[in-house]
Amino acid sequence: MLELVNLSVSYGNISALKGVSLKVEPGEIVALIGSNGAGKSTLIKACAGLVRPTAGEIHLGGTNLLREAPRRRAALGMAVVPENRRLFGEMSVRDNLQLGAYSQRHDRKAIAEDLAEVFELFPRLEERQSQRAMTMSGGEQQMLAIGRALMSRPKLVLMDEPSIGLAPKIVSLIFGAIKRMREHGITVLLAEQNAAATLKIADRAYVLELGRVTMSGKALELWETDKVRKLYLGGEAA
Amino acid sequence: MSSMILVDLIQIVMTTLTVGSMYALVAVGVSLIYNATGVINFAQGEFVMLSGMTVASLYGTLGWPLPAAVAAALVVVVLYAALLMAITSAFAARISLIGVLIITIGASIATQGAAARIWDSDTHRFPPFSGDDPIRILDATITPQALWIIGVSAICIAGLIWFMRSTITGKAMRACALDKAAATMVGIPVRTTILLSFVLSGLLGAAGGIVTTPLTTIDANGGMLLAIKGFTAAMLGGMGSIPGALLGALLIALVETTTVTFASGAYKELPTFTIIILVLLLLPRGLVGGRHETGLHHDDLTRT
Repeated sequence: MLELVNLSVSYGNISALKGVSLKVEPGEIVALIGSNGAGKSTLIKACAGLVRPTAGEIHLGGTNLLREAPRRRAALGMAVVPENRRLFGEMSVRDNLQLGAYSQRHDRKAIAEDLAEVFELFPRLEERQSQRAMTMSGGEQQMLAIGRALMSRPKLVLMDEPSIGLAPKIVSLIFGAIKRMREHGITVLLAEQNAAATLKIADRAYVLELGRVTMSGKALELWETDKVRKLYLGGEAA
Repeated sequence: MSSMILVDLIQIVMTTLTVGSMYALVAVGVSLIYNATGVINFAQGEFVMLSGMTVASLYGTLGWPLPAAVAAALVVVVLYAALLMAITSAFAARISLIGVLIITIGASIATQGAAARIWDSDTHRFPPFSGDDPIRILDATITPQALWIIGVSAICIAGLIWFMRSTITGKAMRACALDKAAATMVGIPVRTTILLSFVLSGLLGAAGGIVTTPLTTIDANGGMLLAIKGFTAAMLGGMGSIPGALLGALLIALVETTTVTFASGAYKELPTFTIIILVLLLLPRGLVGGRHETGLHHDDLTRT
């Protein structure tokens, strides 16, 4: 589904990703764990087309993404739940969701169906549909960011720290929604600092440190390694 | 005595609505381009001038049918808007937003020069659409053309607000104004959307030129003062807000009309320039708040 080959990204003289290769197979939840500054967000941004890699390749299905305009990704089946959510804050919940479906805006029937599915996944969004996005709580905004991504009928969703700053109860709601996305056949690449919660729902995982992949494998097996526990939990698991 | 005051009052209201409608078309256009790019377009008045001059020569001088002349003026202005977008985008890749703003002033001056060469430096007009016979309300009078100005402006601005709030393309324009990266992620073509903002903004100005020229006349240099009025109105209301631009335009027209009625025509421009200084000093976010974010992204015009 998604394949990165030797991907490198630099900001001026600082290199944020140093030759990262990874693969996401259809139907998987793949976790990308690492601490602040490890390069998780940079990797997501490079895939989304928001930063230009200095070297390497990104393939989505059979398409070389670096040859496509950033805005074409939605039509190619990729959706992004970005860092800080990046909602259209002054617009209503409903408008945000409708804009999520921009790449298939002529198919009114599909939009209505997808809207119903998003409301089923997050009933809170249906209650709040005419409210302005910026006036909602952090958890509701995260639901909306995910809902907006789902409105493009994606095959692959990239998520950048969806749990950040949220109460544990909301985090489990969000992670429950991610599991349900997999049940619906959607592939997920999930960048997270919260290794405990992430490795529990992921199929496979990559550990990113200072711009390099230092470990990878089955999520549960990685969870068993002392190094991961020590690095990202400081000891005890949730 | 009291009926005199009433007549004055009706006259002021009518003149304010007429002048305010014209300023509103320019101010809303300034806000549209500001929202899309972060640039204040001081060539906004050139849309008005170009359309007024085009209709004046094709319809007034050459005797084309009015609809054909209007269509030609709209085409001219759309092409000019696209050119302006191309120029500002090309420079935005290399210079600051303030630099781009100065480029728009340069574009305005260049357009004035070109217009003076294509036409001349004289004032131009063409016959009003529904004759010259004034309509009387008590002892106040209003020309039929003023009703055209008010009506066409109201329809254009109401149509724009409907477009921005109710159509997916309009919502995509607002989304681009709020966050271009997020808009790109959902698949919105940002550059096309910016071009659409320039074109819509140009069409508003063109509508203004077409309906006001029979009443106010136009000359090659007539655009700049209108751009300043529109800028002032947009700043007063809150830069980037369409209702704000409308409110600002009506307020400036009211102050101007009152000054002309009770003081002298010689002071007509004084209030506008006083207001712009006061607003910039004391109320930079305008009456209705405008956009929260003032730190605009330099790459807004350059990103594909």
